[in-house]
Amino acid sequence: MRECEDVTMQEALPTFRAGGLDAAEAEAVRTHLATCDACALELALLTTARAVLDRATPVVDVARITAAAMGARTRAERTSVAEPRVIQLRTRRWWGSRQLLAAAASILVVVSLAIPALRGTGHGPAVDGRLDPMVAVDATGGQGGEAVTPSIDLAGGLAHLSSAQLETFLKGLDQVEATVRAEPVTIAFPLIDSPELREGRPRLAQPPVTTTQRDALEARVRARMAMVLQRQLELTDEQSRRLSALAQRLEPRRRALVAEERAVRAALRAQIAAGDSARDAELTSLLNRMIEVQRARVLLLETEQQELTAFLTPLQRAKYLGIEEQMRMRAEQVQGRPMPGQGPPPGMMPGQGPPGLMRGNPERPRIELRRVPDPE
Amino acid sequence: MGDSIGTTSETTDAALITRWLSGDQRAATTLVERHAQSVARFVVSLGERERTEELVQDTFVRAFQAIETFRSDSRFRTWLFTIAKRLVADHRRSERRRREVVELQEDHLVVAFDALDGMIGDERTQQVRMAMQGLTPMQREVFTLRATEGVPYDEIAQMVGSSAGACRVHYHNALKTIKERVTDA
Repeated sequence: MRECEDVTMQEALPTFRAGGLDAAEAEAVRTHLATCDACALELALLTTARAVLDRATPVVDVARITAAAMGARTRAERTSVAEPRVIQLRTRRWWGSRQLLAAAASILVVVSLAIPALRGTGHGPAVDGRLDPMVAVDATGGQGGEAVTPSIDLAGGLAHLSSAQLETFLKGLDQVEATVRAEPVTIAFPLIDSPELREGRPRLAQPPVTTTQRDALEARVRARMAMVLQRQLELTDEQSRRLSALAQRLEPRRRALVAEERAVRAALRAQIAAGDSARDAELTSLLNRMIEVQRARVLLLETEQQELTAFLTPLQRAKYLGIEEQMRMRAEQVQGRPMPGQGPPPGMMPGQGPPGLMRGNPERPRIELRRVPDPE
Repeated sequence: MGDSIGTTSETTDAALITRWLSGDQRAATTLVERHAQSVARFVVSLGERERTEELVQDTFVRAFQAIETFRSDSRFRTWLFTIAKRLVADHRRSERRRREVVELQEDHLVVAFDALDGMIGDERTQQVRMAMQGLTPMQREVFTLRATEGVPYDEIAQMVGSSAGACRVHYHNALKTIKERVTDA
């Protein structure tokens, strides 16, 4: 077959195949193809080449990737907020407790006044007014099937917890690990006992960590949660593996719901802030969406429970539900949020705003505390 | 005739980025939806099929963290490809091993077996696959970017550290090789 001598048309074929030509250009190529067998054949070859790659390429999980990328960005923003104000404190010998000593051991201690918001009800986080999506990074490589250790994510993700809070959360899980407990399961979390925390003021936190460190920490927490579940529910390895797989499979939907709720809450807050200029139709629509989110959440729970019946006993399912709820509440606790029946979270006055809509203040400045040697 | 991929009927990537940075989170989701699979294809074409999703995810993580540095005079997708390529290189270095350049193995191709598809098009597909495997690494990369993603030569040149003219030559040599092997088979 003779080669086509119309170089312009030949060169346009890849772009034509990719849909990158405008209407007139595309029509010109079509006209040319109708009379040029060489170009028609070449186009077919390009299409086949694309098909070869398409068939060799796994379909990626867009929701998971989006959540991971946006979560990482949020974390980066949190750790790179305007240069923190530095206050020098002198260490005191009365920093006697082991936990306080552990906290003080870090050269750089950051007090984060920006309390990240968590959920309002159920599993979802409340809105803090900024992009704050879930994080789906699974450093154990669970997606690729390489992970041996089961990994369970906290309902709604771990992104809401700072690294220091994650460490605290992990300590609580470790404590559970070290203690054989009879039912009912009680997970005690050793909060860093500081005056700030007791008084509802901001907590001491660790210095900013890198993304890699953070991912590794989250992976440890997930693995540890899986281990706790394994012991408390007395899971066999097979049950543990299936529970982990189920949790990972449902997590994208859970995250999507959390993200949706977050978006609706943000929009609702904006409408409420608009006062008299709020649009009734928009508010109605948002409230309907919120109801849909809650409905979807119940459906997800139902789905989860149905799937659990395939490999867990009713008692194990009941325990799982309880532990999951307890972990979620404890996660809030390490964030300094009140347990049920306690007061409002730091940064929020009683009665401030509708429930779940006004949590924390991301615009607050961060104050950095540096430890300086104690003068002898 | 232009050879860049336009977005004539939909919001441009640059507009989506602007919207996202202004607080529209759905714009970010749209960006991922629009480009994730292309990045995945590119990663696979580089021979990293086993860790495709991880590398795609890392690509978007890096991109989103540095989104302010993206210059709209180049295409967002090309920028993603550049990041993905670096990550693949980093990954290979970290593992201290180099895989075969392309692993378009038989079992990779048939994800969901379709008997009719197999009867009609499998032979030609296999010929093209084999022909692509026979390309040099440079030819394969340039051919993949140009033929399957429609990336312009000048942007390919930036990615592979060559000139647009040289990339055009690589592309046509690759095309010629594939044509010959498909015809000969």
